Amino acid sequence: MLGTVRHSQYNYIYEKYCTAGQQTAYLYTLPACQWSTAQLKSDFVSQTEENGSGVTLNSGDVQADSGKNCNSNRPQGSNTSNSFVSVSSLLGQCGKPLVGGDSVATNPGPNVPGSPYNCGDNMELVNGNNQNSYLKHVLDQCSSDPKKGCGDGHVDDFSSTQQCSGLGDLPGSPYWSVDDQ
Amino acid sequence: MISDKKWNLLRLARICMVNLLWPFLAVAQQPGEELTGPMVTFRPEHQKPVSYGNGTVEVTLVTVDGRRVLRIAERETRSERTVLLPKDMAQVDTIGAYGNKLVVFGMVNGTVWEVAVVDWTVGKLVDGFICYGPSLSSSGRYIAFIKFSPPHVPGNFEDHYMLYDTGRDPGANRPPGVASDDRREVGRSVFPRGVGNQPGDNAGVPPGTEHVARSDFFWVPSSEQFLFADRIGSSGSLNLVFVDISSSGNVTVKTLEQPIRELCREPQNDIPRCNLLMRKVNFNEAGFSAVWEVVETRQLRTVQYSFSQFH
Repeated sequence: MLGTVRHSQYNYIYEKYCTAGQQTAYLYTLPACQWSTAQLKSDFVSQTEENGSGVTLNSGDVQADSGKNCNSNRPQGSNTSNSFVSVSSLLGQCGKPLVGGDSVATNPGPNVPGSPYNCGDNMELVNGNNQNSYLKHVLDQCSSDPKKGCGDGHVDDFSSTQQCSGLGDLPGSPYWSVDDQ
Repeated sequence: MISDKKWNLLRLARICMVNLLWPFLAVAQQPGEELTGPMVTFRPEHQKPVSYGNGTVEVTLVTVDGRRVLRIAERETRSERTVLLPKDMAQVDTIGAYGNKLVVFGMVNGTVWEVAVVDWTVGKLVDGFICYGPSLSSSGRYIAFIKFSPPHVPGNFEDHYMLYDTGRDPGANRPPGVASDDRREVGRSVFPRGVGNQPGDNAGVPPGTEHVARSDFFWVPSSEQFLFADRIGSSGSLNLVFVDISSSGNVTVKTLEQPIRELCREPQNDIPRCNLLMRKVNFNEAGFSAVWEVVETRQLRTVQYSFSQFH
């Protein structure tokens, strides 16, 4: 039983809903470290850096650059704010596609040794007005920062909403929440 | 094996039970909020009024065409300026000040913060960066924060505790070789010891060895000193970290090891899994008292510490 916890939300950024002009972005593959360039909308670039993952119009799925990889052949002009990893699909920490309205991220993540959470755990949410209840599933990891990440026990809920920015907290949050293994 | 029908009945029964108990359960959980203040939320569509004022300026947050804007009025001359805040700052939480600088803390999504530094004398955004959990010193000069790492991507990141000096210009708050408008490699690191500030230095950490914050930043009132708690992976002890910034800006870091078994004493508490947070700190002349919370059980323990214990 987790008690009354905040439920924030996260989502993928969709370039088709972004509106700013284009800029040069740098894409690389792992583990081959093959670099290429793409013209991406600048608001897609910054929002994907901040939110983690995005779906481009013409260059497939990308994830934010940690700055750790492929530095030996990093192109001139590339930095962590304009570079992304090209991925074949966007997956949660459990290696499965996330499901909007169903998948949640926890801290510690479900694949971290010693974590109280396991991949696929049921998570039940009930709010104080008896108006909303959900049965969701643990499939991803959330940041450990206790002030805004999930280190304080709060849960980040995945949403399939397609837009060019992050989402506000899950309506009705906080919820009385239970994790069933 | 439970059938789907039985599972649904069990689920319904549990939800009914929780709903009946809700008023009592909700009250039982309030001590957590008493420790931390109201639960922090990200609701950009319901931006709360935010303002700042001192003897010289009066600052109000307004929203124009969906963008957050500071309206700055000088009290003496009654002159007014507006400053557009960074486009991704969807929600503004606080405004502080140091000298001619305004320091704005806001959020770009449910977990990531953005800091904006504004020179109010010329009405210009002079610096900005993204991070986690920024905290302003009582003077307004220093910002303690956790270095940014992208959320929800592979890479096993750890927390690096950083310091930004609003008394210095953007270039002086970046390491050598990093552009003065870089949004991620910002400030100087204060902990872990020996860590610099280069791209990716907080990523790819071997599992179980990563530094993870276990508290907010607690500033000593009327001083440039702050305290926080850090844990390495699921190790058996925490580090209490005390940072002292001298008047010349030099930083001294002292630590104190806190064994987890002393805080997670109950037999049901598995030490590696015991998720502890230092929730509240009350400073006194000789040291401070800290309230620890076992997150899963909401158990609280208060411990007295002396500064002389730190090395």
